[in-house]
Amino acid sequence: MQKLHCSWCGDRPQSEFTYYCTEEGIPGKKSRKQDDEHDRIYLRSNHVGEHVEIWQHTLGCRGWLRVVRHNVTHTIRKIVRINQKAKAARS
Amino acid sequence: MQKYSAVNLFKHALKGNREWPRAWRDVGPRKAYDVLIIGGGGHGLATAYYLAKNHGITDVAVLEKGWIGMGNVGRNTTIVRSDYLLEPNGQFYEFSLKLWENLSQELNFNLMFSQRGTIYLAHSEDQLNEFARLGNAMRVRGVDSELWSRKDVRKAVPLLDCSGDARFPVHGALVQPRAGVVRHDAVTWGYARAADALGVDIVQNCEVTGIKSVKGREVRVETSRGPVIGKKVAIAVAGHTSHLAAMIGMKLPVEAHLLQAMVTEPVKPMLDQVVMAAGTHVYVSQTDKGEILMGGDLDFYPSYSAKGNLPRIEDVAALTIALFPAFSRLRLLRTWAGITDMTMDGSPIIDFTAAEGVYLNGGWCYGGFKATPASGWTFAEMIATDQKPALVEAYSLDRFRSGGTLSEFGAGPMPQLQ
Repeated sequence: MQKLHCSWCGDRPQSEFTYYCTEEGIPGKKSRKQDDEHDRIYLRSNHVGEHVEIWQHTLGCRGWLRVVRHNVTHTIRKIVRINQKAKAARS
Repeated sequence: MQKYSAVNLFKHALKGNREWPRAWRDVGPRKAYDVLIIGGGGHGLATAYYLAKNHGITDVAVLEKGWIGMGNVGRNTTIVRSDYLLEPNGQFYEFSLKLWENLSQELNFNLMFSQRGTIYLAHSEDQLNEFARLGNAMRVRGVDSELWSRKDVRKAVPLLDCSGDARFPVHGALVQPRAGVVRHDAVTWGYARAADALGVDIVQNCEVTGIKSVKGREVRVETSRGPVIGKKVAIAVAGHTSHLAAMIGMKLPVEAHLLQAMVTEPVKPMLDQVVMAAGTHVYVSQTDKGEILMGGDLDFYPSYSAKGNLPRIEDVAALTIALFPAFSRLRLLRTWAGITDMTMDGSPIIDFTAAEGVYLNGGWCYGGFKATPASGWTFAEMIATDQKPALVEAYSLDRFRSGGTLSEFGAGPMPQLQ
């Protein structure tokens, strides 16, 4: 089974994680026009290659991760925790 | 086309079965056609067949990047049914089931169509109530459905664990007696042979690498076997629709996910129907070869690898054994995966595109196989007449903008959850 590296929990099996969506689906800051919202919610480039994806460590620390992953080889080039800085500042 | 019949079978048997003609010609692409169909899967071949048969358009080429039957048409779990809640889906899939019922005769090819019935298990009283609603919705539109108690289920499927302490207790089931299974390879070969006999060119090993559409002119398609011109170009490439759409500058409400299926070693007949479990989402049937055929959820993350992950295989096997403890001693023989076009509402797309002369058929999620005849029928009508048939009016691209999404489960715009 493939492992994903969670910066809090370490290398954990993929079945503990849940894919949420690609970065295209995240609300943008600039435009909130109706057409742009439609495109954000529904349209995906869905190309072969690397995508920036949002995952959650559902059966672990429940933290959110930004994962740069290839959708054919499943190779993960980069994986960072979302809001890690904010959390670190608080602790 | 040489007719397949008992007489011909006997004649060829006398000659040692060495002189059967090819089922379809092996041809290269010509320079130009009236209609080019990209994708030689079930939907593409069915579209070609109905274009020739229903509309008399025989100057048609089907361009297939691999070989006929390599893609999703040979990777599904062969189930055909029409148990849908929403009216447009219900009407469409029922039309498809009616076409399936006569397809072996129509194509002169034994599709091994078996209306063995689907048994959709409810694991709680609430699920059974939901099934009563679904069954009523089906009956209102004239589709057969029956609501079974646990006793009925136990009688029909003796191997199923219907005991009170089962891991997934059976409270009853929704049954569609007319639903069943079809041998998927035979569907592909049957449509290919019948389309070829009507004059359609089936071009294998011909990958489309570019589509150029200029207003008022014919569409130029670049392929690995040279350029081909088409007055009309139809896209029917389950799993890879997004690439083809990108060639004409479109982004689609589609994400590619993997769906796995698997079979055990063949055993004697022990399961007569298709058994599906609603809560756990696993579906089990026995093939004519005797293998126990199982399928379950998607892999739950986007992938074009066509290779599934092991956790899903473990899930499906564990859920199947929970339902049928007797299957626990069987060994898994083969597993495979197909790339599915998961749309944002779980329903397909049959529509015109932004490029003139280019027609789109895709987004079949994991339910495209049962739609094959109706998809081909309506898509052919749309290509031939340039009018959208009423049956697929709802399968438009702009439904996501207008709020007319067709979501059977109300899962929201999450392709992996449909």
